[in-house]
Amino acid sequence: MAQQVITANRLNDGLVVFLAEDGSWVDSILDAQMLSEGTELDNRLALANAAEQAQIVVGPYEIEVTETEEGDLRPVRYRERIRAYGPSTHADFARHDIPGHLSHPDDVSPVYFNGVG
Amino acid sequence: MYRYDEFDRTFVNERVAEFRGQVERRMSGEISEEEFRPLRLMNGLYLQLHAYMLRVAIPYGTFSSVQMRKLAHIARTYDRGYGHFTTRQNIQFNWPKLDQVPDLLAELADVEMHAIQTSGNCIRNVTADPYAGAVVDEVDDSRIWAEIVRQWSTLHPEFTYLGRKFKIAVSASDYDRAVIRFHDIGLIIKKNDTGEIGFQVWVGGGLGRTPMIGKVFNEFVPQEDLLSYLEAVLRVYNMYGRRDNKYKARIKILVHETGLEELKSKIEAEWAEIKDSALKVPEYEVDRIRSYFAPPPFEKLDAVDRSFETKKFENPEFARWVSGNVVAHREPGYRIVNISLKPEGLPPGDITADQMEDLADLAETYSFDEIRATHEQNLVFAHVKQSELFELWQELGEIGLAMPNIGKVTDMIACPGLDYCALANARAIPLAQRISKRYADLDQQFDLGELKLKISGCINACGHHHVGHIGLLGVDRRGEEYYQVTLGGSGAEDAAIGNIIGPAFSSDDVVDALEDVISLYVELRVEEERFLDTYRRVGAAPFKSRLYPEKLDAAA
Repeated sequence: MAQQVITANRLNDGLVVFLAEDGSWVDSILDAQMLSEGTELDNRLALANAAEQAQIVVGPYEIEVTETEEGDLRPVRYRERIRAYGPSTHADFARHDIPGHLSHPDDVSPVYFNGVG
Repeated sequence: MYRYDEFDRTFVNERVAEFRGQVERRMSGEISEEEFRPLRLMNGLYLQLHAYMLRVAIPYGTFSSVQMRKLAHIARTYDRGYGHFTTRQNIQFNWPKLDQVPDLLAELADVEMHAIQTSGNCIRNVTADPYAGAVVDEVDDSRIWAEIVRQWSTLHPEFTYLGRKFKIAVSASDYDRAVIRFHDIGLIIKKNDTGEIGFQVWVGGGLGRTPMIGKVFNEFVPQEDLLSYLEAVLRVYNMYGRRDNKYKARIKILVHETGLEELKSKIEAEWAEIKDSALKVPEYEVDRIRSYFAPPPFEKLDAVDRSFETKKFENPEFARWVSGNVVAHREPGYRIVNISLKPEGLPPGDITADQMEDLADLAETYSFDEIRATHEQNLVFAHVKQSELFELWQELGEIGLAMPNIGKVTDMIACPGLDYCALANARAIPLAQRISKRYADLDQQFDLGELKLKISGCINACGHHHVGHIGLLGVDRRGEEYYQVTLGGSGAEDAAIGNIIGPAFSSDDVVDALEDVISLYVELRVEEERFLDTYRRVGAAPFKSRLYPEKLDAAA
């Protein structure tokens, strides 16, 4: 059965966040809670919706993930990989803390646009 | 340049205060996201893939060095040190924080800028010819009329909740540098036989999932009747435009479904009712607005500057930049300079805060303190002395902005695509970067000549792919990025919608496919033919055979 994590955008800065095991929202998919479809996911989605009502996040939803050989969570859809890893085009804004953050499905090497790195 | 009057200043400040209250209520939970969303959109604030995005209006793309410096300050203080110029002469910031946006807007208001009507179902920021007031071929300065339209459309109570967004562009030339024929309303300024100014009105153009070329609804609306005519068009659209289906709600669909003659008669009937109302544009008001756009204090110069000719002769790179990016000016001794925001391998339209500040300084030194943004995501210095082009070119080179590729294959429009946009199906910017690197050889670019390549990350067509000589449209095929190729489009005076040439290519294959198309053009072209001319002459068939040889084998 496909594994899921719950994601949303944080209300105050709009950044991508994931629901962690302790009910907090974290900015790295590596710290997200992996969920199985069914009651477990439904319960956590209810918690996520409550977080939306409490002005913590906007628009929570579940995404499908796999576990890499190193045990890292990796979104299945490339849209969600870009959300989790940051823009593929500006290395300045990519999530360097996440392994595979630049492993997009082509040979583009992102540029350091602001002259750093 | 236009300067705010008391009315402008007051309403912009009031709007900042109002939005500050709305943000506070959102943060405290007094209003929900559902309630807040239309309010933030009316102030140009989107929630995108990674963060909020704020779109700042640059009316008709004209702004000053002071405003550019403020944009740099905002990029640094509220964002991540850069901004992104769009296809409607606006600038976007990709990372502002919601609770800081009211302060950001207050800072913008200090320099007479705002983000009102850059989003939502209203009349959007009015665009115009980026060469206005400088170019040889214009009938009048299109910014004067764009400003009059801006004043009429700003916070227009009747048109604040339209069925869908509504875009107006103004041009004053036979050469279309403002994509007039693909706007909800496109205005081309004309002069009649007696020398009076009026407007040829195109209605119902648009891109998106149903691309349409606009139709001429009126050959000559006299200048004093411009606003009543626009009001009549908007009123008829507001009355009869569809609201049952978001994808059929633009005026282009109303034109298509109702037919030109019937809709025209409805508009004419409405116009007759309101023509002699307060909407009459008084001559003194036109004169007042015109005075804001008075030509800068040009010096009396010789048409040809000998030092300029010498520099060109001595420096082939400078000569290439002049031939690629510099355009004739109507004042002797002056030139219009295009500044490409498409350096090799970088995201089209992006600019760093440092570059913004440097350009603000350069505009002060070389172009009467004035900058223009173009719909092709570049910038323009409209009034540069021929004798100072060499110094300007050198200084632009020092900040990485002397790329001589205007109108060439690497001068691409690309939408933000899936790297930023919540609606996108595929990425656009990385593809533009790959193409930019593939065609990095400037000799090759100049040999290919004018080639408008435009890339959209989804069918909403923000990257104008339908009107690219070559268009690339990102699609999602079973979870993979694919790109559909369209050929033969044009957003200029020879307007056309490109033809889809065949099945989409994978992300790995699409740059090779593009190269196949371009190589075939080189084989087939006659003399000075542009890509578009060759395509129109030979048709789609040779390109299909080149791109899909296996189909040819199957048919044999």
